[in-house]
Amino acid sequence: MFGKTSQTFAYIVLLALIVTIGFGAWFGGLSNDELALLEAF
Amino acid sequence: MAQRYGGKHSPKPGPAHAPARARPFAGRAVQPSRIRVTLIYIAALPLLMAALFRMFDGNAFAMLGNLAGFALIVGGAALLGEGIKAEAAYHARKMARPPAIPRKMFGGIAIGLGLGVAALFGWGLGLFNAIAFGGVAFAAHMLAFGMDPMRKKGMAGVDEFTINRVATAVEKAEETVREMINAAARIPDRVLEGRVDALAVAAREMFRVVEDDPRDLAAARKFMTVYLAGARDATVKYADLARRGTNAQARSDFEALLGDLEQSFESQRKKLLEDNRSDLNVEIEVLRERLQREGVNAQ
Repeated sequence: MFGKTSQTFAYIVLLALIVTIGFGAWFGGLSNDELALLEAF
Repeated sequence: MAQRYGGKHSPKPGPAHAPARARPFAGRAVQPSRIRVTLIYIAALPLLMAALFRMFDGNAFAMLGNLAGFALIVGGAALLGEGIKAEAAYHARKMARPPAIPRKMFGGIAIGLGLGVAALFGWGLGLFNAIAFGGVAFAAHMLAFGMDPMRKKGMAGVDEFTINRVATAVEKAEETVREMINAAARIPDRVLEGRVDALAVAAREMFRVVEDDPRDLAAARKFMTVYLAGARDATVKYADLARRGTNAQARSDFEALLGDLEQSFESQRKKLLEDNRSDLNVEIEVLRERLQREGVNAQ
């Protein structure tokens, strides 16, 4: 239905979104103490 | 005396009465690649880690959000994989009904929902962000994988009832073939496995002939139900027997049965094609006679 290039592009966007939300939830949801610890490093 | 080199699992020369197939890949479907689905499973793993770390923090709410997001994405990817398989089966047939459940689309909805839930409850982004992320993921999914087949596929001029009848018969027979192949995979004998495979190819070639001309269904029905089910049952029983130990007599009997079945499928297929040709011949003759009688012959 759509071109191969746009399909590949859409697939990469999908993967990037899943990875971004995953890492965002992993590191973005850190408590203040953990952030301070991370900054100290 | 010189001895042929080989071990227990080396390919052995087949029996003399088994001719090599002229087209070894005829009737075999191309298996769709699984890599795109597998990568989605891998991409979702950070969410699992996020759930783990929120659990260490004692934040049950965020942990549940991450876990729910992960489960939805993985479930969506599984649905997507099934949808891709169903689509390949649909395209492999000449006459087919659309899959009962649009699995690819449901997979897309689950992945979009999973991303939204993880963004909202796991990461703590606002509702608007969560909806936007989920929506974009769903749109990207649909663009990347396309829609599920939605329409019945059949030949022009064939009524819906016939399409349904043929599609149901072929689906059932296909299921029997799959069960037979699965049972054959348990037989620790490459040659026999290959013979079962050849029988499956012969059976599938017959299905394509029936799809081409649904009038052949009546003549092929016994082959598609009784003989095929018999072959499956024999394969299951032989696989059980072969796992307990080798039995030369049972092996040769089973191989002979497979050879006979393959041959009879092949000859029935040829007979069906022959009938189609004689139908055409009759039609041509009648029309030519009529043209001659009415004097509209080409001068």
